[in-house]
Amino acid sequence: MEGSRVETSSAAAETPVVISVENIRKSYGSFEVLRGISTEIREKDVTCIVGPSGGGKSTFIRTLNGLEPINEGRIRILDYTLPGWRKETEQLRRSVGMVFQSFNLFMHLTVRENITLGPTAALKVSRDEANARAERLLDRVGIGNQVDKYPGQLSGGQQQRVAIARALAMEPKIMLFDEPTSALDPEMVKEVLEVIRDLAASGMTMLVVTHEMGFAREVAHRVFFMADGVLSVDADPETFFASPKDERHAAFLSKVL
Amino acid sequence: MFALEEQVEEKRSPWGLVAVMATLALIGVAAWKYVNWQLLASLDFSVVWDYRLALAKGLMVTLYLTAIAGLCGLTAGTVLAALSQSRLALVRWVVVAYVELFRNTPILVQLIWIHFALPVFTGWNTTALQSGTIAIALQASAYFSEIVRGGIESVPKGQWEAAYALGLPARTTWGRVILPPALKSMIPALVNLTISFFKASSILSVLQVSELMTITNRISNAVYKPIELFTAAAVIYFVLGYILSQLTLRLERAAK
Repeated sequence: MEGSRVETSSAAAETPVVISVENIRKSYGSFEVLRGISTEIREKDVTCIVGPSGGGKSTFIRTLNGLEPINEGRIRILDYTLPGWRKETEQLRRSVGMVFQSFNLFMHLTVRENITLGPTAALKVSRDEANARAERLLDRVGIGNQVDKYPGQLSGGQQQRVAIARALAMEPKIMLFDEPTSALDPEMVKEVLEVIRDLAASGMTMLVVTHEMGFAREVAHRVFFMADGVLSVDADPETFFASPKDERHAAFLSKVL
Repeated sequence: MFALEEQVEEKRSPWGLVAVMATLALIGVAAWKYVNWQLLASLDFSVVWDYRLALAKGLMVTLYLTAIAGLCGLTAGTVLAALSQSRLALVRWVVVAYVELFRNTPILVQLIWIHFALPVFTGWNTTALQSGTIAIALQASAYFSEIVRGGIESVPKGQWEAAYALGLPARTTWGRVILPPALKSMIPALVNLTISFFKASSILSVLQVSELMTITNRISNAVYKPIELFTAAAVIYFVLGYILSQLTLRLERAAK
């Protein structure tokens, strides 16, 4: 069954496909969280995934770097395939950055160590080069002066920007954001969205699970609607927010807009 | 908070003081009537001083055994705890069997197995001290692994996910991400367990391993002053155990 395959509306249709999701399914016990999802993501696509809570958005994005194993189907990302061998999944994860809702910084390591750990341990980058990367990236996310602090000494917004810098230090080809602003105090949402927006403008291929409709409308090339484990709408933001495809989509839009 | 303060106030009421005085008076009367003061006066603690060198040597062996328990326990226990998270059911099963076997059989029996049964099967004879060392290391690794496992499980899932998402090698995930915070949260439990082994090492006296309890017993048999010597041994165990637990409290506060 071709689950919920829908027409793609990629902004840059001529760029190569970097993620190809083929009819994936995932269950927790008897509850099916992902019910046959298929889609393709092209290089430089900025895709926002929206929908009601419990609809499978987070689970879906977490399958893309193998954090959630899938029960059926197949995912191809860059040159890698999921499900695959552990070593291959490890390689895949080094090319696909992920930012979590709750930051998940290493609380016992300084900001610098958080950012340099991946490059030095996983990519065998020299310490000097890793340090240079860390400082450059922290400047880029606007907290260059916090390099020797511990995450606990930073605000939520700053921590999330460190988490973004940590992911970027691996020089990933694709970035996954799993509700990056949902755990933040309202006044800190903007500073984090600003960073993500800049990243999108730089041409990074990104998937963003978000509840920030304004952000999705403004930054995304494509918007996915996920509910009940099905990816039922895949449209450019204008179409997505102006003309609902079905009742579920219309009901969601009426609540969030 | 308020309830606690009220209780403190109550204790300061005159009736509390009267109760304490009455209890003390009762104990005093009982002591006067029943305690054999003659015998008590005849206790001669100078014998402890006379045998101070032998006792010190015994204490050294006890401390050596405690160090073995602490070091082997922590290293082997960490390895066992990591293996208990293995993806392979067989590995997990073997670890569980090992841990449960050593936790749920008396150390006395383990000592007998190692000292008397092992040579029968392997032809490998061990001295009492070697047997004691092996037994205490095996048992400590089983007990420590449970604490380390608890410590590992106390590390939030998000830390694992962040390590996975970066594609960190397993070595780095364990060594830099999971174990440091896990060990920190385990410090009190680890020290408590080490103190338990400090005291429990006295069981090795059944093999005549020359640790503090064996030495105490030997001197006591030679000079027939059991009350003085065993009391002295208890004081040594208490003082060192108490110092160790106070040091941990300090360490814990410093870590925070």
